Amino acid sequence: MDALNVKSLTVVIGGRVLLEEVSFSVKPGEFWAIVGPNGAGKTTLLRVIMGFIKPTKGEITIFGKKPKDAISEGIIGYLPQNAVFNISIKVLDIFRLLKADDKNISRVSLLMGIEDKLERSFSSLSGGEKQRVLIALLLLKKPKLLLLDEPNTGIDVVGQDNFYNTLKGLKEECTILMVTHDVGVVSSFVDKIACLNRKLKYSGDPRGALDCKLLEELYGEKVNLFVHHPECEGCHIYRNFS
Amino acid sequence: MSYIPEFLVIPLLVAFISAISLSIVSVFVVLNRWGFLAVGVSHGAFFGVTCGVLLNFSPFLLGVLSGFLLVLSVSIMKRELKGEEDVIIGFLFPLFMALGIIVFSIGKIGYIDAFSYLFGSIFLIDESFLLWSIVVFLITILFVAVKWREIFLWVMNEEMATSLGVNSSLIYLSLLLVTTMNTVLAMKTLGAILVSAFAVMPGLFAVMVSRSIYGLFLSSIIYAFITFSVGILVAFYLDLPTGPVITVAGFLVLLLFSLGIKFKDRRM
Ligand SMILES: Nc1ncnc2c1ncn2[C@@H]1O[C@H](COP(=O)(O)OP(=O)(O)OP(=O)(O)O)[C@@H](O)[C@H]1O
Ligand SMILES: [Mg+2]
Repeated sequence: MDALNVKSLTVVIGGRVLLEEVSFSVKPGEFWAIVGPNGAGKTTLLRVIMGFIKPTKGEITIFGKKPKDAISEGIIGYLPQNAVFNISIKVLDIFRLLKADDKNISRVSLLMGIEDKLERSFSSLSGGEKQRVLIALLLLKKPKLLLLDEPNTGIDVVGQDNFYNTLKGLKEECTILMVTHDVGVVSSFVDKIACLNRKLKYSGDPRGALDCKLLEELYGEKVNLFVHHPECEGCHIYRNFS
Repeated sequence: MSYIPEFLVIPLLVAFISAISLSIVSVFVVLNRWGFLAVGVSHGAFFGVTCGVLLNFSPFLLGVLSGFLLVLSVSIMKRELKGEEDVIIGFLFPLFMALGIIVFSIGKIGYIDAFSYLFGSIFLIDESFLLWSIVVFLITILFVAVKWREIFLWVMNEEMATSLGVNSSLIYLSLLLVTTMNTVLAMKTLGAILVSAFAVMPGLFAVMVSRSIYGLFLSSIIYAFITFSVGILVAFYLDLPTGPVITVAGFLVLLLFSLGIKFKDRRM
C-alpha cells in the first residue's frame, strides 16, 4: 500500500487555480523533497494532505485512509512553515505535554541529536535547534508520515548536511515529505523529488533529472545552480550543473 | 478578620477570587498575544452589562454574552474578510462601546454609575456576584486542570497541534469563552477600560520570571494577589478608586522587576 497517494488533485480558491491535476504516489519509507518557486502551491499541497483545505477535485489517501481519518489516528506529523515560536519553557516540559515516557523522549532526542538540549529553555535555542526540537516532538507520536514545510530555514551550510542526514536516518521510522528551496543540496539526500509549480513538472529520481530545461520550466527563467556532489564527502566540492 | 469592615467582606472576596482566576487565564492571553483581544472583550462586554442594567437582568451573563459575541465576530470576520485581527478589533470594540453608551443614555443611567462600570468600583459588588465569581473560578480551574497539555500545544502552533491529536477548534472556543468570562468578572473591580491591563500583566510577569509550566501559573497568581492587596489597601486609605490604583500598582511591580532583571544581567 502507498504511504501517500495523490490522484488528479486540483485546488481552486477564490477563482485562482493553486494546484492543477497533481498526481504522484509515495512508497512507505521513502524520503521525498518537494521543490518549486514561491507561490508554487507547496504549502497548499501539504495543507490539503492535512485536510485543512478541501480539494476541488481529486483524491488523497494516506496509507489507504482519508486525510481526516489518518489525522484522528495520529499517523501524520505536520511541521508547518515558520512554525517556530517563542515560549520560555524547558524542552523536556514541551515533550512531557504529550505524556511521553522517558524512553520515548530519549529515543527521539537521540534521533534528532538534541540530547543536550532537554534542560534548555525553548526560547533560548537557535532557529535550527528549535526546528529539531519540533520534529522530535512530532516523532514522539510515532507518525507513519512526516510532512515538513521548509524545516531547513535557519540552518547553516554545514548544519544542512547534518540535518538532511538526520532526516535520512528517520527512514526506518517513517515516510517523509519535505518542502525545501534548497534544490541543489537536497537532491543528493532524498530518494525522490517532486518539482511543483501549480502543476507537477516532474516527480521521481532526483539524480540526473534536474537539468537546465526542467529547472527553467519550473522556475520560469534560466537557473544557474550549484549541485552538491553526492560522492564527495569530506571536501564539499560543488559542481556547476550547467 | 475582625479588622475588615463587614460591608467589605464580600466585595473583597469577589475581587480576590476574580483576580486569581483571571491571572490563570492571563498566562494564555500573553502566550497567545491576545492582549488587544482582551481590550475587545471588555469593551464588547460593556454593551451587554449596560443592557443588563437597563433590563434588570443579570449584567454579568449579558456581559459575557456580548463579549463572546465580539470575539466570535472577530474570529469569523478574520476568516471571511482575510483581515488582520487588530484591525477588526480596532473597529468592532468602539462599535460595541458606542452601543453601550447609547443604551446608557436611553436608560438614563446616571454618570456616576457609568463611571463605576468604566473604571470599576468594588463597592458596587453584591452577593449575587460572589456566586458568579465562584462559578467562573471553578470552571477556569477545571478547564485548565483537565486541558492544560492540549492548551499549551495549541498555543505553540495550532496546525501542528492538530496533527498531534489536539482538537484545535474546541480548545480555541473554550479558551475564548473562559477568557471572556474572567474578563467580565474582573470588570466589576477594575472596570471595562482597565480590566484589559490586568488580563495581560500577570501573564507578562509570569513569562518574565519563570521557566516551567507550573511556575508560570504560580508566579501569575502571586503577582495578582500582591498587586490586588497593595492596590486595594492604598485605594482604601487614600480614598481613591480601586481600579486605577490596582492598575498603577501592577505596572509598578512589573517595572521594578524588569529593572531588577536588567540590573542582574548587567552584573554578570
Ligand atoms: N487560503 C488561501 N486562499 C487563497 N489563496 C491562497 C491561500 N493559501 C495560499 N494561497 C495562494 O496560493 C498560492 C500558493 O501558495 P503556497 O503557500 O502554497 O505557496 P508555496 O509554494 O508554499 O510558496 P513559498 O515557497 O513562498 O512558501 C499563492 O499564490 C498564495 O497566495
Ligand atoms: Mg510555503
